[in-house]
Parts: sequence; structure tokens; C-alpha cells
Amino acid sequence: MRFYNPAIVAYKNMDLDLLVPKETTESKGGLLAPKKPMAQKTDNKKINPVLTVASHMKVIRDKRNTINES
Amino acid sequence: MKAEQPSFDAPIPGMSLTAELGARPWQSPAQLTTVDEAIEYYLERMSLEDFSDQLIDVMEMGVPVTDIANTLQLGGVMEGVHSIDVGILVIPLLIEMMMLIGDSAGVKYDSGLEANPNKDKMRKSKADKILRKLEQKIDNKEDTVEKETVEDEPEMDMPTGLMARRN
Repeated sequence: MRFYNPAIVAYKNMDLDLLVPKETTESKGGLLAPKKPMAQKTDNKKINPVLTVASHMKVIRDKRNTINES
Repeated sequence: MKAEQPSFDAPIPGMSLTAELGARPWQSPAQLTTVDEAIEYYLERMSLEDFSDQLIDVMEMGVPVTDIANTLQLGGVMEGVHSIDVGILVIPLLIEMMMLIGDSAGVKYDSGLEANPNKDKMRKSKADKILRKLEQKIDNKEDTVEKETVEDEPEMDMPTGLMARRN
């Protein structure tokens, strides 16, 4: 019999596409044009540690994907 | 039928109260309080060659990655390195990192994320167990058949007379 493992639930709940959105930088010509939307300006990582884990995971997963593809 | 043996591995009631409060590592404040610190701690440990060698050995044995990750973080909690909350938060990263080590080493591993990976496949140990039981049953039947045939054979009365033929 297999016991309950919280690791499975924790891993499956990490939706990286949702937590780490792709950075879209729209270059606008003006000097005073906003570089980032206001939502991204606040440092959410400090508030939500899941985002820290997700960003680290994203890097590792990209690395894994390149290994598996080659 | 074999009766189930009671398990004596479980702790005795009140065993948790035998040590002074705060004497255990997990009862004192954790060494690493933030997720960032815990991530750094684990990534540093996982980058060691000894760790990855041992991990690959365990993965090759068929132990699911999720189980290894859970054991690893529980070990951290027991040693008082971090709290259980931080441990749970770090688990997905541990799994991802271990899968990266497995992939880069070219090891076929069980991620442990599938609901029941061996649903269709009967486990070898289970098949062996059934086979052993069957063999035992066949042996027992053969023994009883032999006994019956021995018992059924009528005993030949040996002639006892003076003129009886002797071999």
C-alpha cells in the first residue's frame, strides 16, 4: 500500500505557465514610456515564496527540456 | 491461514514526552527560515558529486522521485534545518532538480507522478509469490496422492505354511 505523499500534490499544483508568465517587452519609443506594467513592478516574489520556487523550477525545466530534446 | 503479526515498530504511547521539550532538533527554531535559504541549501547539497551518484543509484533501483524528495525534506525538518512549511514549499524544486540529474545521467526513473504506473503490469515479486504458492499447493497434492496410493495397496498375505513357495 502506498502512503499519502504530499510531494505529488505539491508538484502537480505548480503551474509554471501561470506562475511565471513570459516577459513581453513592448518597446515604446518615448523616454517616459513605462517599461513594465504596474502589476509586475511590485516585487511579488518577496510576498509569495511560491513564485521564487516557480522561477527556479522554470529554469531547471527549460534545462531538462533541452537535454531531452537533444 | 497465517495470523497477522503485530507490529512493534510503532512508538509507545507517551514516548514523545520522554525527552525534554526543546531537546529535539525540530523543537527548536529552524536554522533556515526562508524559502530562498532552503533552496540555496538544497541546491548546494545536490550539486555535490557524491549526492548525485547516490541519487542515481537509488533512482535505478526504481524508487519514485517524489518519495525521495519527500524523504529529503523530512530529513531537513528532523535535523532542524527548516520548518515543515518551508520543506513542503521546496519539494517541487527538489523533484525538478532530481529529474534533471536523472535526465542528464540518462537514467530511466520513476517520477512517482503517475496515478498507478504498474496498473497493467503485474509486479514481478507478486508473480513470484503466486508461483511459489501454486508450487506449494501442487507439492502438497502430490504428497497426499502418494500417501493415498500407499494406503490403498492391499497388503499381500505371505503364505506361512510349510509347503509355501519361497522366493
